[in-house]
Amino acid sequence: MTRFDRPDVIIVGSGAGGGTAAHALTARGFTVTVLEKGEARGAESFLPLDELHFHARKALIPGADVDPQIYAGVDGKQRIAVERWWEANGVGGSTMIWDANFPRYTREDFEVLSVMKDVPGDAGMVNWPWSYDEFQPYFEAAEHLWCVSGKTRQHEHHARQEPTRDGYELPMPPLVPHAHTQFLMEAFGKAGMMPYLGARAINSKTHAGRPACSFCGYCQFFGCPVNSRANAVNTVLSRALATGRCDLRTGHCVTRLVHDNGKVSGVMYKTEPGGPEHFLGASRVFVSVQTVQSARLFLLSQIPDPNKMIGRYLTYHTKGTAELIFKNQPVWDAGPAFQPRTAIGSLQLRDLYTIDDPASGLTKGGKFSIYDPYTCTPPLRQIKTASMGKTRPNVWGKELVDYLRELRAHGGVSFSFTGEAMSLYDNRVELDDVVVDPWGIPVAKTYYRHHDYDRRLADYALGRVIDVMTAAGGELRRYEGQTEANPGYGHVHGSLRAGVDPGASVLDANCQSHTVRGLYVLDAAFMPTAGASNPSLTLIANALRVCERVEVS
Amino acid sequence: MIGRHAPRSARFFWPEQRAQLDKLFEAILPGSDDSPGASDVAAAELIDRELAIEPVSYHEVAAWRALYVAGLAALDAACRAQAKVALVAATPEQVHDLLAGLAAGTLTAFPAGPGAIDQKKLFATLRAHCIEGCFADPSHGGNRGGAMWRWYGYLETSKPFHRGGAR
Repeated sequence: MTRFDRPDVIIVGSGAGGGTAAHALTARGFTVTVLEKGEARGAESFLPLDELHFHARKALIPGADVDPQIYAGVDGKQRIAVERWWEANGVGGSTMIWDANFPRYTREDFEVLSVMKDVPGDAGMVNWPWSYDEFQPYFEAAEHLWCVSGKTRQHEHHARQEPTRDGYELPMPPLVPHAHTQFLMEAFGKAGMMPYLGARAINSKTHAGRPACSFCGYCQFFGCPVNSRANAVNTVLSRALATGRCDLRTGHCVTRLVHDNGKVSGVMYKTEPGGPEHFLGASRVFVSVQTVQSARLFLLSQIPDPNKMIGRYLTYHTKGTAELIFKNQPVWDAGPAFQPRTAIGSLQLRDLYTIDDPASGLTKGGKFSIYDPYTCTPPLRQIKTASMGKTRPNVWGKELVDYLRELRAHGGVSFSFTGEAMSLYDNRVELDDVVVDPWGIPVAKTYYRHHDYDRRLADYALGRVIDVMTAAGGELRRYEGQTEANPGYGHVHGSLRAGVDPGASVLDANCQSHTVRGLYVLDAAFMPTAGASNPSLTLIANALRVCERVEVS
Repeated sequence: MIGRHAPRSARFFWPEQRAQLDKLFEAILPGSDDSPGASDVAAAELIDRELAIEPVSYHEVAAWRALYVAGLAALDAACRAQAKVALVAATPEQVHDLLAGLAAGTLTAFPAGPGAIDQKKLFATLRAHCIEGCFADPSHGGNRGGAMWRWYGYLETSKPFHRGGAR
């Protein structure tokens, strides 16, 4: 028996939250044992860079045939087996395949009720139990720990970028701006809007022993072939392991959390499907296995839930996509210079984070990531969505040829919207009563429909940027608003809400279970509402905040 | 006629099925003298090889095998009913009309009732696999010689395409 067989803390999951906790807790002298269901993947697992294998055939996520999530549809009566897009089981979790888009949640997210003047009657929107100012030191620590490139206060009037402390700067300058940056800045400037270069956990120069991004063109759903993109392994887990106080155990599937008399005592786990359950004991257990799976583990473990809150207020960000082509512009990548590829170097636009337009009936909005469709997206993913206008999606034949001819000849732009989503009690995670995963455990079943507010928000926000781009000569090609159904793709949060009122939340303000002491949750399940930015940085900052407050027994 | 993945072979489709698929893919991404089409890059080669791999490389393969075998036969029958000609002998316009009906789910001479084929799903599968055969890494069999990437300008500056001539 080693000290890792009775550690101070068990961490379930080795991704953004779990990895960060392993670092933060070992730095404070705790011994931690990290249990990871998947395997450690080395560089050979991510090569060769092959879009068919990694993106079209989804090689790094569990198959919907053997390890799905069940979606109940908008009427709650369907049984649709879906893939779990952002649950890349393995050491590092989804940080191994992400875009590393690293914006902060801001005051508008923490204090949503002070922004929203029109909360729909059926929506359960709440303020977060912390302020943006309380989170600022942890944002700063997270941005340095996870090696973020970017630049604060890019505009003289910088209110539309995430606010930062005077004198504060990110550890690296921004990645090389994309070739369409100046054109877009001028076009949006005429409309009184100010895009800025986004923060990315991608090296813009040699940093922390890792190289600068080489602009190879493969980000989302690919491993980084040059290790310039941050992940849990090359930032936090490596530090935790170097202390000698962290044991990382792969192939360990936690089947339930063990608790007694309102205290956690450890976890049960299996090391092979069909094998026996084993017990590992600790007085603290930190769960960070992605929102839906954390709720599933709470349900499987029968965590006391007197107010029926476990699994409730699940949120997926409101999404929307618009793509335009500028026939008055040559292709941005005309050569012979080879401009930055993939999502990197993209602009962000936060001018519609709050909406001041009484006619819209909307007050809380969201942000855009702005890309060049031609060079930011690998061809299979891009061309499968080829459209020639709102009413001509997924074109083929002559229209597909026309689309391709335009794309290779003219500058284009695409907008990816990340917006607030109304929290609804009925949007939830349950255990499925039919399907079990390869380990013999009931899979998660989600009930989800987007509120009409979400759908109107996506259309409004997309409409605003389309107006600006049309004025600059753009013609709309692809348009996707938010549908009512959400089978499970996108940023996901909630389901184990944190709050100060035990009657209205699952976790306390330090993300510890109200009913089982010593049990913490560090993935985005803690988020009381969806917010409107990519959630990873805020999740990581929260993990640092929580771990700082864990008391030495 | 079923596909020939058993006994084992490096390709799934019988020659007639492959010829049918080549016709359909060329209608989805047609070529011209100055832009490559599906036939110019042997787009169907990718799915022809992928469906033959045992054990299956991806969980949807078994469903795709069944869909293709039934779907190609149904499309051939629909073409004979609609255009009075076998699919492999149909003109590009006739194949286009056939696919337009399939995409809209309005082909009448198509299996209905038990064993019915979801026309829109079949079309979406054909379209997705055609694009994969055109734009995936040439190592998988399609995108022959990387010709589609070269013309589109993927990983290099785009180059003109001249059918049958020097590039």
